[in-house]
Amino acid sequence: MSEFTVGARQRDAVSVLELKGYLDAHTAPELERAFQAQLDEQRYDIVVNFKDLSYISSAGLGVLMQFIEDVRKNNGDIKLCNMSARVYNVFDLLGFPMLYEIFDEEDEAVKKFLNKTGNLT
Amino acid sequence: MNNRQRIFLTVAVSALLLDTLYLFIHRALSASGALQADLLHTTLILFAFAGGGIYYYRASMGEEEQPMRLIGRLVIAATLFMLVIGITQLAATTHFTVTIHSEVTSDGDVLAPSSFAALVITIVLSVIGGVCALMVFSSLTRLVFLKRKKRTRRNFLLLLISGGTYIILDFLADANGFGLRSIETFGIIAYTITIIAILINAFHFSWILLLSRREKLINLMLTLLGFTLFLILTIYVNNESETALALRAYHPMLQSFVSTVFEFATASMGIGFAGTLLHLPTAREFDRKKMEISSLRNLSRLITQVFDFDELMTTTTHLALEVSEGDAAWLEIFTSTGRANSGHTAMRNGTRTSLLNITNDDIALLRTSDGGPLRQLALTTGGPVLIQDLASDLRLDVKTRDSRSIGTILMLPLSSHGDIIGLLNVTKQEAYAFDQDAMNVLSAFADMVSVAIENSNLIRESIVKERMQQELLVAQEMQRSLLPQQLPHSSRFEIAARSLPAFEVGGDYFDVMPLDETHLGVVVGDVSGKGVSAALYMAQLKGIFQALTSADTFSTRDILIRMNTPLCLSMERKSFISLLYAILDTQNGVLTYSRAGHCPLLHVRNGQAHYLQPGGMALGLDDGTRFSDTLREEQLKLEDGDILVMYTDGITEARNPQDEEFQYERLTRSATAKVNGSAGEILDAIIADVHTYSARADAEDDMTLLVLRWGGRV
Repeated sequence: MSEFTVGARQRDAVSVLELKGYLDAHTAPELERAFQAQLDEQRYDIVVNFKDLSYISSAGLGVLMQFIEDVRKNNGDIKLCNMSARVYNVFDLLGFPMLYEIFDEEDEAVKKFLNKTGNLT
Repeated sequence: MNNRQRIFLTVAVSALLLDTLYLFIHRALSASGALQADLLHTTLILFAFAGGGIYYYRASMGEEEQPMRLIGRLVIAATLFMLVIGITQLAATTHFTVTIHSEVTSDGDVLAPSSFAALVITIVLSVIGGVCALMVFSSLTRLVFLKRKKRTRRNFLLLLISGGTYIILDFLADANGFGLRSIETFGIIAYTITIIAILINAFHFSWILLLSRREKLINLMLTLLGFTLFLILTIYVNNESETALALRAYHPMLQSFVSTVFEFATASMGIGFAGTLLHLPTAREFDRKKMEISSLRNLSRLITQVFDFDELMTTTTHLALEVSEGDAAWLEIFTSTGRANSGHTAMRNGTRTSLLNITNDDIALLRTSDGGPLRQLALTTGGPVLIQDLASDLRLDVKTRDSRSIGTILMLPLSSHGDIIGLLNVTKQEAYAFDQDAMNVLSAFADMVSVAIENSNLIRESIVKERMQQELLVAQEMQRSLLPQQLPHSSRFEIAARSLPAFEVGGDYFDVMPLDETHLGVVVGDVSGKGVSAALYMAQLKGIFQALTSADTFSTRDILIRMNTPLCLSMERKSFISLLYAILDTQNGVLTYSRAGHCPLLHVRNGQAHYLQPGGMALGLDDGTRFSDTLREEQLKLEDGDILVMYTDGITEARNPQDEEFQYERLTRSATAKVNGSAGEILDAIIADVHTYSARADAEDDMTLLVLRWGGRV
């Protein structure tokens, strides 16, 4: 069974979560904790990088749904990037592109956040 | 008393009575008054004593073998005989002039009671003496066989044979043994062997070792008393005393029997006394060891009590006190500690205690020098803590040191998987009460208690688990009943479907419902997540779905839009449902379908597969207009031989041991391999392919597959 890990780093005011491995019902709590940690720090601009994620199940998608409301209420967002074709297909079938912005590259996602704050100030 | 015993007793008593009668008659007729050991007398006596002996031996057979009780019986028998001798002597000197004199007759020396009264006394004395000797012999026999070894029987047989031989030879010699002088020599040899056999057989006191100190003291006195009594009796019945003469007058064999038995008893008691005396100095130490052993053996009780935690705690406390011979003991078990942080002083959610001779208030008063509770000392140390002198130990609070009710405290942490799960404490009033031995024993005891507690917890957990398993099986049965038991079919179409949950229950759903005479609703859905939560939503999904589908609309899009709102409201944020809904017009073969985020519909026509994927997002994700905005409805006119395959992602995402997924290409291949087969055959083929691919019988994800075949087969 493949492992699943979440790495968190900061790019300016934006938090980047790097997912790696196999995200299913068993490993989803790991991602939940990672999101919760960001919310606890009141960081609401979150980019999730899927570069090294080989599989995502519906439970994994559920974690995104679980936090999106809170994040958006606090003027933040969860943006997704670097998805493999297979992972994107899962998102696409379920209609997630309608709910989340999905970027090819992490830079684009981060830039989108920074522009937003730039506009505000 | 059973029948056979009664026969022995009857024989003995009758023989005795007959013999007495015979002696009286003989005396009345005889001029000299001499008693003669003639054939009739001898035979009757043998019958009487054999019968009585066997009866007594059998009667005492069932009794518990308690060596001290047997010794007590020996002493009683000796005392009884002494009393009888005393009384007869007294009677003889005050009331009768009883003498037994040797009388020389033509047959040699003959003993004759001087009067009729003397005869009565002779008989009484002899019978009681014989009975006592029988009692003594029987008790000795049992003592010898108490700790039976291989040689015991042989040694005892030697005693029986040599003793018997001696008694017979002595009698023959006495009766002037057919004029054979050598008989006397043989008699002396037999007697010597008998004495040796007696000495050998008298060493039967290995049980003394196991007696407690108190019992040893009692035994010492008993054996001393027995030895003294039997020594006196032995001397008495061997010399030319009145008693010896009376016994001999009654029958020479009786006298030799009684004296031999008394010699045996004297030797036994002497050796018993010496043995007890030798064991006495070690008795106290031995007692303690024995206590420890028996306490540790009592630990097996702990094992049987794992089903009742409270009882286990009580027993543990009692045994701790017993093992340590302490004055007070208490056990603390920390319940549901944060196991992850095995910090010794971590907050404990709760403590269960079992107290013995001490109260919670007493314990609360015991404090360390920094004011913390005493247990802190053991918890920070992690190992056993022994406070030898409470009054002078600087680790303790001044107040605690001043309270003089406790001298020594031993605290033993109980641990399981490296965590301290409890604390066993024993105290004693005196200081320096526990030595290294006591500490070792108690440490071993504490280890066993830890194991017992661990087992108790495991059993409790497994009982809970078992119950959950049962509940899940019930849920599984109920979920199965939510899926259609029979699928409709007609000459125009056939449907086969199967749902295989990964666990007992799953989140997959399928249904086939006739909406009216010509319309059939077919649905396959997948609740996000797995297990019980998914199963509960699946049940809800079925409810909502059945409530909303009706004959008033055949638009699959309408129905799904209607379903979305209640599902959004009722489900957790992180849950959602993908669903594929199709309505088949069974008259003209037109299929109307919508896809709410579900896997695309597979359509096979003329061996060619197409995946149909109209737009639509999963139910429960968005309760605004986005759902309806994206949801599409499409139609497909089925032709004869068309095959439709609806499935959940458990099929396409089934993985092989190399972690590769089954994927659409393989599904296509499986679905097109048997285009001429029935719906059921196609279904079986696909499922078989998935199982073969994943190389395992149990799936990781719920799998549902529905195959619909339109029109006759090509």
